[in-house]
This record gives sequence, structure tokens and C-alpha cells, in this order.
Amino acid sequence: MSGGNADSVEPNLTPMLDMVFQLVTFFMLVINFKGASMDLSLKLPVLSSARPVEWHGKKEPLVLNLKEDGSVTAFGSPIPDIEKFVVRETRVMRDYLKSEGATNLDEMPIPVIVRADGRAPFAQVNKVIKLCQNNGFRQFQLSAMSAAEAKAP
Amino acid sequence: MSRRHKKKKGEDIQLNLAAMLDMAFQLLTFFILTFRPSPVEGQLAVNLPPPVAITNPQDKPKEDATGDGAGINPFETLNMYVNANDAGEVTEIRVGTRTLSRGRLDERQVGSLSRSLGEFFALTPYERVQIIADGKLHYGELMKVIEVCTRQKLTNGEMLHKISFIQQDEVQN
Repeated sequence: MSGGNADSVEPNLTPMLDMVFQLVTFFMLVINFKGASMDLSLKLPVLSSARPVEWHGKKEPLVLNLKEDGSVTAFGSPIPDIEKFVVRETRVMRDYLKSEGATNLDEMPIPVIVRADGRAPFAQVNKVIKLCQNNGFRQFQLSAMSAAEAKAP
Repeated sequence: MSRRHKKKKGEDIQLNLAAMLDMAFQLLTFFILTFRPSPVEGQLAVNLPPPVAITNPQDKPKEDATGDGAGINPFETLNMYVNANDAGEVTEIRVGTRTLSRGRLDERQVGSLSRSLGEFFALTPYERVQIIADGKLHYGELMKVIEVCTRQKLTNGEMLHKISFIQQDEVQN
């Protein structure tokens, strides 16, 4: 015979909740907001001497992605007029640096990360680099995959 | 009369965890869907000053090589020409009239180029390299050349980090 109607069978949700919170914590810790500024579809050139650069405590760099056809993207959006974009970004950065007390801003203390596809023609890369140089940028980080990373599946 | 309920023995209060679990699953779904593991990228750090006027250092007398130290002295710059074919591959690398590498830039050619550049840097106190590259050259090929340059030691013992680029069309125009 069946038991009383008032008795309800409830699963113990506590272990499941524990596990889900652990997973949430894991994903929160590994989430990479900087990845949003990178175009992961690019096939970067492979170099043995390329080393990851740590940016902790340094000024946030300007990241420019250059596709094979020479088009530029930044922060996930295509940039139709790269010249206007660089001028605007430089102005914003200069204002920010001035507000922090920087005086000599002829040479920008902020690096530019050039993430160009390995098949992009030099003419296009040179155009972007020249634009940055004309706006005072001198420090450049040319992105590449290390040989070990490129071999990884 | 007291309205306070007296807890009956054996009756325990249970939190309704279902709502919390719902929320936690929603958060989990969000993080799973937005998770994009970014590859570990390397960077080649270079100081890229603006290009300088092209002069052939081999044509200049040796006493001019050091300069007076005011500004950028073009005689301390090694101008390296990198030619490419229509496929964007390196066909020739030369300094002045001397060819340092001919044909596709494979490992053997890279080694030979590195040795030849080493000889230049051992003889003359160059401070920087100016790469005069063909506009068609693929960026990946150019990076190979830059990598070889960044391995060169200057006469003062420091590693070369001043590199600039010019497109060949700009020089000819």
C-alpha cells in the first residue's frame, strides 16, 4: 500500500548547488575580457623568439588587428578609417596621461600591439605602423605565435 | 497569550534551494557560452623610430660613422633591402650591393642571414636597422627578418632593438 499523501520526496540539492557554484567560480576566474580586443580568426606568424608580455601595472596598450586583406579591427569592430581612429585614440590617451600628470607626450609611453595576419601584405602593415609613428607611438609589440604554441593541437 | 510558534521537536527548517540553483545554472550557462580560451600569444618588442634618409654607409668615410650624437645619424643605420615575389615570399635580401640571402627564407637561409648580419655589426657601430621592404612581402616573412635582426648584438654589447621600415615604392618615388 502507498504511504501517506503528506510525505513528499525531495532530492537533496545542496551537493548540486555546491558543484555549480564551483563551476561558476572557475569560469569567472578564467574569463578573459582582454580577449575581446583580439581577433582570434587571424593566423599570426610563427616565431621561436616570441614571448608573452605581462601588462600588470603598465599602461593599457592599443591593440590593432590586421586581416589578410589589410582591413583593421579594434575591440571587435571593423575600423573603416584607421587614420581617424588612431588620431582619436591618441587624443584620448594624451588627455588621460595629462590628467595623470605626464608632461612630455611627444613620444607616447603607451605601446601598440600589432596583431597582423601572416599573409597580410607589408604595404598595409607599414601604413598602420606609420600612422601610429606619426602620432607619437614608438614602442611596438608585434604579435606572433611561439613555435611550441603553433604546434599544439 | 504568546503568538510565537513553538518549534516542534523533529521539525527542521529547510531553505528552498531550487531558486538559488536556477540562478546558479543561469550564471553557469552565461559563462560557458561566453568562454573563449585565448591562445597564449608571444610578442616581439621593438622600438620603431620614424624612418631616416637613406644613405649608403659603405660609401661614407669611416670617421663619419660615429656622428656627433645629435639626433639620429643616418650613417649608424644599416639599410637592408628585402625583395619579394608576387606570392609575398622573400626572393632576395641585400645590403648595398652585397646579397645576404637569395631565394625562399628557410631555416638554412635564416642562419646564413644571421651570420652575415653579425659580420656587419662586428665591423661597424650600427645602432639600428632600416628594412626597405617590397610592399608585396607577407608580414610573416618580414617577421622572420625582424627576428634575425633582434638577435644581433651591437658593438656596445646591447641587443639591437631599433628597427624601422620603409616601403620600396616610397624610396623610389
